[in-house]
Amino acid sequence: MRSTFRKSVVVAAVLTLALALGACRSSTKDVKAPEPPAPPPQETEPAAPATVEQPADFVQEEPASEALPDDAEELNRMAQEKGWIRDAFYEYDSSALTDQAREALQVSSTWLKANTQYGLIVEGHCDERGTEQYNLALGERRAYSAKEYLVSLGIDAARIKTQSFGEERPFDSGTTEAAYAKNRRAHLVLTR
Amino acid sequence: MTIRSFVRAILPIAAALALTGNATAQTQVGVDIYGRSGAQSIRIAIPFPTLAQPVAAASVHEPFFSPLTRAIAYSEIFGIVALPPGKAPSPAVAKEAGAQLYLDLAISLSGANYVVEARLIDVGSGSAQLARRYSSSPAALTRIAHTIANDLLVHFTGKPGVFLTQIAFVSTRDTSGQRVKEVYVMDWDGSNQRRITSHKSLSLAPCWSPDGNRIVYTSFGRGSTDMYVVSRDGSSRQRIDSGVALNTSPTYSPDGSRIAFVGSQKGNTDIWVIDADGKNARRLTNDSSIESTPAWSSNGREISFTSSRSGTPQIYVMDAEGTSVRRISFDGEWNDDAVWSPDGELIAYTSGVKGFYQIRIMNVATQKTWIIAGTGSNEQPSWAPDGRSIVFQSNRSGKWQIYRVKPDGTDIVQLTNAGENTAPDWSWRIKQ
Repeated sequence: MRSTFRKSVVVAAVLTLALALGACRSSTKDVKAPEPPAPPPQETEPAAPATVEQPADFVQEEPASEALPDDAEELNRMAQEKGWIRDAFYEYDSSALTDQAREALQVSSTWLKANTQYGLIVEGHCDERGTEQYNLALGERRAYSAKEYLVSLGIDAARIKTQSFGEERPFDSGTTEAAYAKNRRAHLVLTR
Repeated sequence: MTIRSFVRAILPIAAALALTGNATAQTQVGVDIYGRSGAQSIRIAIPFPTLAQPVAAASVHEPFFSPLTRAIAYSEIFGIVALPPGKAPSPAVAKEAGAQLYLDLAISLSGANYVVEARLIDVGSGSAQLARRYSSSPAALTRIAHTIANDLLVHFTGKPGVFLTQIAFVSTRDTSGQRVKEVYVMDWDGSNQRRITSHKSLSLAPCWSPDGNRIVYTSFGRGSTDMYVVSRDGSSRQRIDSGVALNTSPTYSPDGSRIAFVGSQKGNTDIWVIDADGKNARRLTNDSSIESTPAWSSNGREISFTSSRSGTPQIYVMDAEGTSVRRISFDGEWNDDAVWSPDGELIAYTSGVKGFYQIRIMNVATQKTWIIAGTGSNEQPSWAPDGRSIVFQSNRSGKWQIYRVKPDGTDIVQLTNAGENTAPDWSWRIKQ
């Protein structure tokens, strides 16, 4: 336990530094994008496995229950910011899981397995380019494709609810391809 | 006051007082009852009503005279003849101006109610073809105007106009914070817009029951998507438990006995149908692709829907039992929102053309299509019960609003302004 504790402290210090640097960098970026709700899919720069796993390991060794906020909104913000829970992104008019979507869901499943006290709502979202009624059905497929994959990774299906929002709740109201890409997603929301 | 009580207030008092057998105007003009382009119209003069003290012109103009002339002009049965300025209007003056008919209107107050007397005079013979008296509270004056316009159409064509029909739609105007969509209804011309749901959530895709008493829609109010049926005045509401997920695009069969909708089992969306009382849900399609947006043919024998089984969303038709599926849309890269015209001859739908959506109309027999051209994206058409107009949503102004247009693309009118307004559904002819 003691060595784990020490390791945690070291990792925490490293993370704090990383977060501080990240904060500095993002504060200059914030001028352009004042309200990034979640990171867009990084097609050119897939996250290196080492950095993906580090926070996940860290969480598993942390006595998580104390550190995690009670407020559901705050918890979800933290889980997304720290990359414990990651949304899956989709191609236009498709509910097929891309490699990046699988990676994101793998990371999420690791955290969900370590934190079994939480349930999950998988929200299916679409960009505004399709028609509204069809997109509600497409969003349903996206949500379910993400749920199915999480179940295949060992998450109990009873923990996961799905909900399609179609194009009703865009994350980015812009009309660029980058904005559309952010809106084609299965958004993971933790519940108690 | 509810719509129904408006109607009750008007109708018992409306009575045909005189009907002459001398229908000169009818025999002189060959009327195409469909009023299609090129049809000869009946030339009618409509002077401003004679007002008895203390009725003020300002209190009559917007609530009565404007909607009356708007409705009569829309009908295409009548052409409104301008009367020469500076002369006191009379049937003789109207005759000189080329009119065949003269609509003589007089408005007075009786207690708190308006009384409108309407006489349709044949300027040739000077006799009244139609004489009726209507009475209502001041709030229902517009409905008197719409009732008079309907009565004129019934007199000449045997069929009422659409002036007492309603359009249901969805509006964001109640949003504060996260976007809220509630179901609204309005009169055929955009007047009298009122909210009938209060989920303070997302309510989508309203659809009228054929008798005009209820509206079925999808709500996110319980943290899932559910079908609800609400009375047209919003006073009562009931959830329909289909037993499956999604429950989007609900639509009544023409006999009102069933509701087709999109249901989902294990993420697979298909077209389902359920009895209107919420029993006996059954699946009509069984395909692993996306199925969406069902619509009944006007005789109830067929159902159109959208499917991605070919790779892109396209329109298909099947019989109402789910067999004999065939693809009908081939123009456009993304087609959805099909709706059948009341006579069953045309299908209007949303068609993706070069990255924008346009309303496309298909002749069912020949499968020929044409587009109602417009700027921006134009989606979710719905037919007027007379088949003479379509309402749809467009973002051409920068915000989503509802517009009315003739199937040939002419006479476009914007019907909404407040907030963003989408998903219009025009009622059937509501039984009074």
